[in-house]
Amino acid sequence: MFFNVNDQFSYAEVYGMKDHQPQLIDPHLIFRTRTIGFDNIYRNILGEVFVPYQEQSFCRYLKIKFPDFDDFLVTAVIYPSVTKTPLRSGQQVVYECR
Amino acid sequence: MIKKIWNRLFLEERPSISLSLFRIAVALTMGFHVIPSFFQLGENYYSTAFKTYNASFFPVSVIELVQKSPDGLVLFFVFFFLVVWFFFLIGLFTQLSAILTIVACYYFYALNSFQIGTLSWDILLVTLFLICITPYPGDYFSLDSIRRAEALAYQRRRPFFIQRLLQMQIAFTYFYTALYKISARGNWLTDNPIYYLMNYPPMGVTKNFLLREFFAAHPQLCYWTGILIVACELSMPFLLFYRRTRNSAIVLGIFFHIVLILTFDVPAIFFFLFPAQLLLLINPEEILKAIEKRRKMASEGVQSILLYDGSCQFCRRSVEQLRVMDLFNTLKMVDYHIAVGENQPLPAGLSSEQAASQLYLIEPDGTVWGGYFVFCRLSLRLPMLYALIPIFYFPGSGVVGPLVYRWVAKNRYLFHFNKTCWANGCFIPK
Repeated sequence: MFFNVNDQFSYAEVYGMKDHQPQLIDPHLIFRTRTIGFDNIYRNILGEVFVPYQEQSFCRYLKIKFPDFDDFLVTAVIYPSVTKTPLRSGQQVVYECR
Repeated sequence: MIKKIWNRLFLEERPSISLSLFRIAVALTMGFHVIPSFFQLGENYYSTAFKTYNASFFPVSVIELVQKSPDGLVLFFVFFFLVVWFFFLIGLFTQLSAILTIVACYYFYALNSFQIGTLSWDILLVTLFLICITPYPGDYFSLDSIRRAEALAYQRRRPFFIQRLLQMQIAFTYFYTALYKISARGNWLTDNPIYYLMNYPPMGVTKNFLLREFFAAHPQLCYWTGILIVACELSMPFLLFYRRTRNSAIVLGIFFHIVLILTFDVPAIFFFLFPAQLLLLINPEEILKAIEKRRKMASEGVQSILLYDGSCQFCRRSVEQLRVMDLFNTLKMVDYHIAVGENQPLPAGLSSEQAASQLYLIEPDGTVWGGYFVFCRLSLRLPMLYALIPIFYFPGSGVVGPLVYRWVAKNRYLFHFNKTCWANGCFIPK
């Protein structure tokens, strides 16, 4: 646990697309399991969806979970340095679910 | 010489009472970790779930086989887990229920490791494995011990190897964790992980605790705190197994886990299991000595009197079971037939008719409790009944409880093992 922690930090943000407009989906709505004494979302379990072979499986899950959206964008929010530039973050689309 | 040391460390018989208490901690941790995942079966285990697999732990063939489970089978395993886990928690058929719990755990782990699969979960499964290979954890604080009705079950002695292995597990978990932090894949010596963690954005794993901003502004403090943690973890096996430092190491370990749960979003297994496992380092002989001392003090002082109907087999059996639960010997069991036969007055001026109608508890200060309320009072006094306090004192239980008690008391002769006693045939008023 915390064996190797570095200055960079990233987490996943998922957007649902409706009429070409992106809407941020609360990660606690994507995975609603509530654990006792801690929060799995803050433990960054959503980071698991970045693993390349999970793309298809996660897209399928999102489509079942949120049928109202047309498509989904899975993005990574990246903080290049949490100590030197704590307020600077970038975001990039990792994959799209169509 | 080696044989002697080996025997002393692993095979010597010592009281199994600590192991019995630890079983409850393992069961609660298991429940706290797994049961929340059952509230979202569609997300976690059904065919609609998002799944990850631990292929480094399970053979691919096992994962493939488990993935073929229809939703109905998953639901069956949910109920199966809940039943066997509850049996394990209360210590009913302890060893069997522990084995079946571990089977159910591995099933869910193979089905989807996404929510439950963490490093601490792997540690917990090893702990559960050690717990299930002998029946020792069911020796006390269990329904098994009550069913056996051995009055001195708390004294039961067993080979010490299971408790020793659990002690080694916790001590070396700290050691290897530290080793990993400072070896090739860790950066606790060469970098400043705590400083980074303190500066993580709100979506990060660090909770907003009181001193977070202070730590976030002091990188040197963070670095040396990290080094101190690693040094403590590395020395834990020595600190825990050396008699003079053992107690301090246990306190240090418990403090560490409290701080961990207050500062980070880490699996609560660390909080629920590890402090309890650290307490296994306390010599059970010392625990037994403390219990015996308290029992002696209680028997020399004024005990509460439990007045029961000794002609009723069901009552006698219940009293024997209460004697098992009475760890600190706070109760003196009195069969009112014997007192009446010896022409002795019943305590607190009770009549034979009253004593025949229900169970009575007469406290040292003279307070008299009857029927259902005896069990309410006993739940505050007998450690094995502590878990029932919320039920006995739940709003409304003071109305429903006496009704249930009265029905049982009225029909208690029907609970005889011997059918000839069903018509009060064994009840001979003196």
